[in-house]
Amino acid sequence: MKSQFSFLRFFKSQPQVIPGFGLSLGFTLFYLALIVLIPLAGIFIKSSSLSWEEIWMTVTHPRVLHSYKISFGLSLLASLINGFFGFVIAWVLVRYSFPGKRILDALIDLPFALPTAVAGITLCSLYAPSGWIGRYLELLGLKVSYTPLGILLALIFIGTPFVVRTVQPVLEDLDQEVEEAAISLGADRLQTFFRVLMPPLIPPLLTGIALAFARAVGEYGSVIFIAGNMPMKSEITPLMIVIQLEQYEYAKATAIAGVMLVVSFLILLCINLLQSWSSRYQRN
Amino acid sequence: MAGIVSRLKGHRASGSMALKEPKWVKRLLIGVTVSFLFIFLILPLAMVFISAFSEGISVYYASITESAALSAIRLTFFATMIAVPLNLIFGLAAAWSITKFEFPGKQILITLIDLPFAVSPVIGGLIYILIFGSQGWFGNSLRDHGIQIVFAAPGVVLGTIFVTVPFIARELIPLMQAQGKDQELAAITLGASGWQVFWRVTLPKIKWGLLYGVILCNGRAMGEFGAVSVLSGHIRGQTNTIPLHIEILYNEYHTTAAFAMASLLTFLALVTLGIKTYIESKAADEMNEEIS
Amino acid sequence: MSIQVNNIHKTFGKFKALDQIDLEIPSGGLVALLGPSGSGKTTLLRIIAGLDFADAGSGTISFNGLDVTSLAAAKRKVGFVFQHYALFNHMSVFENIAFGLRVRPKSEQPSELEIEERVHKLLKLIKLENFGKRFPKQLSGGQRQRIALARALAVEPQVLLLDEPFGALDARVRRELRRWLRQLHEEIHVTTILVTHDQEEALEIADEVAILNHGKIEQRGRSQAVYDFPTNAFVCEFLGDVNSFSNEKQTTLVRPHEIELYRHEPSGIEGVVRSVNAFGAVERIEVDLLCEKKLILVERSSAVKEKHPLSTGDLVCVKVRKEFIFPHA
Repeated sequence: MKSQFSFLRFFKSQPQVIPGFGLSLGFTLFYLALIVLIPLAGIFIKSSSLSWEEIWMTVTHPRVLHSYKISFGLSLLASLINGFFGFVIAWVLVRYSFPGKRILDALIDLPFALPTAVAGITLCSLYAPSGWIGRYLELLGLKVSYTPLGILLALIFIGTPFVVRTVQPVLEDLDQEVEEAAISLGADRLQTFFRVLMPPLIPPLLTGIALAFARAVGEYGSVIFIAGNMPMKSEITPLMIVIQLEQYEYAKATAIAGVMLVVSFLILLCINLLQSWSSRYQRN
Repeated sequence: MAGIVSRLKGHRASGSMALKEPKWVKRLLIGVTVSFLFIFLILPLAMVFISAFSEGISVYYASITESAALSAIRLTFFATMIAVPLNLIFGLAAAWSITKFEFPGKQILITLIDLPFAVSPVIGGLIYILIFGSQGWFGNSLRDHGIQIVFAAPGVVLGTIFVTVPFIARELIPLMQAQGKDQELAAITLGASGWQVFWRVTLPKIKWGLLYGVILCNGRAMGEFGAVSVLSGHIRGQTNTIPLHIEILYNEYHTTAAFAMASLLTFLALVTLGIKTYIESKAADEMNEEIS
Repeated sequence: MSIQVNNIHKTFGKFKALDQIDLEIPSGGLVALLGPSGSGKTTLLRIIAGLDFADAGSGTISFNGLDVTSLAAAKRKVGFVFQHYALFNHMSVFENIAFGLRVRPKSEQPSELEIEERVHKLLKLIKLENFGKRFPKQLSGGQRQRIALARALAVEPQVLLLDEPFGALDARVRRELRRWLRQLHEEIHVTTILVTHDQEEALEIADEVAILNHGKIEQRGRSQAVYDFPTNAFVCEFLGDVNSFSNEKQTTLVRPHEIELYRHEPSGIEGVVRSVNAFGAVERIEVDLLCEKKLILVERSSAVKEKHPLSTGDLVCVKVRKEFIFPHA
């Protein structure tokens, strides 16, 4: 109660030097509530029109359960793969110079900028049995398009920038004097890397992996073409929502969406914690 | 989405000899990077354009000028024209309130602004169906008045707004936080009003970050698929955006036409990246100065 | 214009930044608020400017007897100069200085010609006549701070408030600007408050100083008087180097230049010279007192140095010329 009281008092009596507090915060809250918060709250209200049993049946239907395995499992795998390659790419872009580096650096953000549908059809065509890459993988007996492997590739594609762009600025910011100090104290290159360089890079690395994971779990456009969408084989959870919607089973769609929302909130919470952990290494 | 601020520090020279890895390590790492980026970024990029022109210029031109394509382009522009300005105003208001004032719950607000990033775009579409759809809260009253939101252009606009809410705010908040508020306070002691401070002092300081946010927001708005796909009725020539039109073409095996449309969006993406790189290099010194 | 600060309190959470501050600043005066970091001096300055507000229910700020406590900063007609200049980097020097004139309502706005005239006069005053077209980034720190001062003066403020104005500058530029600011004040006579943590700066520039510590004013008065007659140990120690001797009842503080050293003096305290540092006009000598196992610092002028040269290891007698005694509360 007390904190609520002081909260209210704050907005009432605090004089502000810079004008526009009421207007800007008021508009921010109004817009956010209207566009994001109230509609999202609708998910939980709508699912309450189902009984607990119905909800449970919907969200644990074998097809749905399998889609969790695909969505969460492959997202985790993709974000870990991105963690590894993203770290290497960030390292190379910060520490080495080679021809074409600037262009590559600029291209890192392509998966952000490229519409997901475009990514979807492109990857699908590339890895289809007749595609540029798919035909060679075919010879090796690997089928990519229309299999979970294809989903994994799409998720790696869209997750590429996250780790690079979280690790890169921290790596750039690291004082090379610290490394020189470590070497002058007798550490070799590997010791320097693991004991001096790595610790401040772990929080941004984890943050990047978590961001990539969050994006991958909800991804729809780039996956849906390459996935093949075969029940119990290559269906992702967002697709389960779409399928329920197409059958006008709004409540059921909402129940599955609720599960995804809870997971999203949890990831968001993790990311926030990671970021505040990470900020202790940064200046000011 | 690495913001401009985090990318400002600039590249340092490659350090002293003592900090060098053995040559083979360096070559291996560069090799891994280049091959990964080649396979995952450059090859798909090349694929889009080569497929788009695989049947010649005239087929390409016909694909992007047939009436369904033109109507998709029109709707995409329409939705973007509404979503970007609204989110621009939102971004400015949010960044102003968060960076110029202290209030309880600020961190929660910042997290909530990010919410549309964390939520699947499919859910972003679903929520508006729950509200405005035929079984939704306002479904009946809307139908009585002959207003259709879901499976029509307004739904497409709403979905586009939802997924692009955070873009500009996220660029501006860290930037304005780093810039501090001394200049605004100085302007106020010199007698400037709130709007004068905003237009004459703050806006010129944040113009690059703002432009960057607008470009990102624009790119996403034009390319959004998941949310729009759920909300659009997929009515060809009426409620299709460019990405939805691509989907239909692709699924109907009009591969060349699909890639022709895709090449438009890919071109837009490349322009976005180009402008972004330009802004970064141009703004870096200026903003470093501002922050230090 | 005179400024009256009356019973001002300011707390941040549980931290008392200002605790019952009363202060009167005479019209045309140049007063320094001096104190260590965290003493509340900047907070007090910002409250006077209207950039911060005192706790609800605490006292008032008045200009010329007129209560301005709840007046917005934009209406107080104060010129505020920030430690890090806060220049508008996207505007030329000219436009920076003209800003305060251009944001006035149309009816009060001077004509373009008048603005130009006013800005050029100010540029002359700060001795940067030919810098109008440049941008802040192209200038040195000292030049930027002078521009910031001219910008503040352009609106003809009733009060000039300077928040650590030389804090970000290097030592040589600081000393130059100090003398320049003193001269400037004599020319324009605007009531000025200067916040600084540098006692030398405060004593050199200001007519009067107010010394703050832990949100309270410890002492205030004319610079020389405060230096010569500190009312407590904190003020005495803060204003310059001291040798401190304390027992259960009292603390005795002695400034290094108030100690004399003799080769042979039967009545003095004996000590051994530990080090001699003789560059510049003042010689600094560390003496180990034999009776107390304590190292003290002594400063001697070059005249004395030449007459009675000392070197490490010499046996000396110590005589105190002047001391401050503060009984423990």
